[in-house]
Amino acid sequence: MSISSTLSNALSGLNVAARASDIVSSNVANAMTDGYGVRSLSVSARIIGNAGAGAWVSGVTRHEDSILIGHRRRAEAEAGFSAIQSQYLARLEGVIGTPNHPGSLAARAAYFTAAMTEAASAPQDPSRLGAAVGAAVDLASTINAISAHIQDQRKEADGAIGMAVQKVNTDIAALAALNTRIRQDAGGGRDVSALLDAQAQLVDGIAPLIPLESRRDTTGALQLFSADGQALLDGRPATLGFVPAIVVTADLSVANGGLSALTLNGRPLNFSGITPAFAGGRLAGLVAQRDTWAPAAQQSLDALARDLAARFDAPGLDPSLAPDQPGLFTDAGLRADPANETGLAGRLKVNAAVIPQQGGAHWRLRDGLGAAAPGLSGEAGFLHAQIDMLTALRSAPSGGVATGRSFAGMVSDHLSGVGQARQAAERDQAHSAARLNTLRDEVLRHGVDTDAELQRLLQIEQMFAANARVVSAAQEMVDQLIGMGR
Amino acid sequence: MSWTSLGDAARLQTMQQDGTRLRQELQRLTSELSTGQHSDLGRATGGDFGGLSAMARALTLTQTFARTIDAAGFAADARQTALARIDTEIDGLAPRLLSLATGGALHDLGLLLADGPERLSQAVATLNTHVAGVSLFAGNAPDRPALITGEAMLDALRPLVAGAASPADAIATIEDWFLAADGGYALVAWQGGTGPAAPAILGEGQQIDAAVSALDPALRSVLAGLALSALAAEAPAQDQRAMVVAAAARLENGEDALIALRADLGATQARIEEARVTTQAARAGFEIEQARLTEADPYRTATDLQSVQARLETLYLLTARLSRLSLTEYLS
Repeated sequence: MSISSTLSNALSGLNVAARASDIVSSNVANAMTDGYGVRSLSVSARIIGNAGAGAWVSGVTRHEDSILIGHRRRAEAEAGFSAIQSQYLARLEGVIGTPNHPGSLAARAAYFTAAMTEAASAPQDPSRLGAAVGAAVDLASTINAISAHIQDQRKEADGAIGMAVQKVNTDIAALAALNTRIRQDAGGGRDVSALLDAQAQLVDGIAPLIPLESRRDTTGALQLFSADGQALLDGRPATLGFVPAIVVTADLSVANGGLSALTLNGRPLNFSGITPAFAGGRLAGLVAQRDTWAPAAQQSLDALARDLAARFDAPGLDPSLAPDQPGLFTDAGLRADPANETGLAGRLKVNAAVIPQQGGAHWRLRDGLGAAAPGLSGEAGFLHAQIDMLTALRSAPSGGVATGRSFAGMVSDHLSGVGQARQAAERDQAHSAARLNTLRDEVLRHGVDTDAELQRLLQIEQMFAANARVVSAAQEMVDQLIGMGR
Repeated sequence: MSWTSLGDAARLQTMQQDGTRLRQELQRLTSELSTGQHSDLGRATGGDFGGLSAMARALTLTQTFARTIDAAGFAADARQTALARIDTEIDGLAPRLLSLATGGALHDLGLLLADGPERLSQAVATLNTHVAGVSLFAGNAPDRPALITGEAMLDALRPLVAGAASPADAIATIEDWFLAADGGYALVAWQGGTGPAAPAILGEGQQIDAAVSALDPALRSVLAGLALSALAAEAPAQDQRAMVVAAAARLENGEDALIALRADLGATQARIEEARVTTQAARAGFEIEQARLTEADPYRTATDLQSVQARLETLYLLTARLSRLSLTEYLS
């Protein structure tokens, strides 16, 4: 025991206090930083020979509950998927429109029936025939607009997939670079906490896109897998491949090569089947929106459009037409062909024979679309026959729509299908959002507590003051010893 | 570092979430209260739009039917008025003709017959009436008069009568001209369409034939009677009485048939009126039902709004208190 060892002990205490306050300040500064793991100092007694020789900082511990964080990340993916789904369905429902809204598909169909009825009650009135033709044009263009919206949704999803892929690729490359530095620093015994924080932030960025499993190997390097077992970062970083489309139309699909498939290291990923790739993440949601949901919506709209066209193509309805000529609604001027149904909703047009701007005339709606000259102005038979076709109970020519429906019934079924899917998706979304919130809350509970940090700061202050007092006491003792010698 | 501590961000996140949720709810409730409608109909109906579609469609169509019923009522009223005018024209004419023809002086008969052509012209003009641009008795050609004028009919008949061998022959010629399916009336005088007029629309799938055509046998009989009396004035004196007797008989038949025709039309008018009442009642029913589906209950919305307001105020209060309740505040 000597005064110099007292001084040395006190100095080690001061040193520990300085490091401890450094840690506290770092924790407080990062109180709001996502992915920051709270640090704490490991302090041990220093032993030289058999005697104690003050305290030393044996290391900095970064606290992280990796299991909890893993759960949270998968919940983020799930929430990302259901958000995409419910957003897509809500927009689709909005574009089809609820029936009380004047621009909705159901309202347009009702106005068309109403306008035809008014025309039939006074067939000699050219303005009513014109109004009926106008209502038919409105109905067709509403169906066109919904079809265009569905393809816009696919295009949007395609673009979003492109951006997501780019983000995943850059983030995985950055994670791999950080792995190299972690391996080097950990080998050199340096503190890698900041590098781990950076990795945690990057992984959090990918988590909503792809459900992840992560672990660290013995060297401390991060390994990243998707929940379905695809290696994203295992030694070497994986690369997702994708080429965004310039135009998206109803007839383009991955199957016919019109749209880009998503590849992992050049191998196409399969998003259907028993173990679909990246199932339940935002990326899988976007792929489903582009390749499954929107095409299904297009298909049922096409079925609706074909039902409308087929009602007016019924044999014997209009004797003035040859059997292969189209009725009131056409596939871009031609008779709707069952073999060419894909995208019909986008091409549905009112027959030019009744549109004056296209060389037709309104009176053909009364006298037959193929009529050469106007007939008797009071003849309502053909108008009534057409109204009867609208209300006739028919089975849908294709698609899973129920049998025995009037056109209004088909429109209503179509909307209800979307509406109910949206309600189910929103229930899913509410569920996954609640789960995510709980987990996020739990992870944040383990974050920086400034009250606790400040308490620690008080302790550090005390410790610093005490050690400083020891130093000054030792100095006094040394001074007295020097005075004695004079 | 002890695991019993509670991260600051956790409290902040909870508060933020609660605040966001409450503000969203506040926005929804204020919009529902000001518009009176559910802000999200999909949620209000559980995604099943079947009822709402049917209701909205029925409302749209009911408004149309209200208009078509009004138009049908108007046209039926106009037809009834026209037939009433013809009825007045010939009212009591047959007995007077008959009494003068069987026992009256030839001079008095001449006076009565003098305005025969005028009567025929009047009756024909009445049948050619246009109301709101629609010719009432012309079948499916409402843009044309139903008949040629009475003068033109007499002009067409005169050569035929002149060629008749006897009064009976002349009478038969005139009656045939009017009544036979391939007579001059159907082929020459008739200007209207080939088929029946457009039926009146009273509801979905509900149509009635409210039209009367000038080809109706009752009207043909009346016109034949009037034409006989008009041509009797021009006939030789010895033939006049026979023709007048025939005219009176024809008119009498025609008047009976005309009354039956007007009664039929009256029944149609009653049906149209009934449909008007039914449609109005149905419309009110549909409106109430649609409102039930789309409207947010204002009492409930207002109560919810109150409670959300109270919760939001409490949250603000708590946020302020808790943010002051920090060790940092006391370390100075």
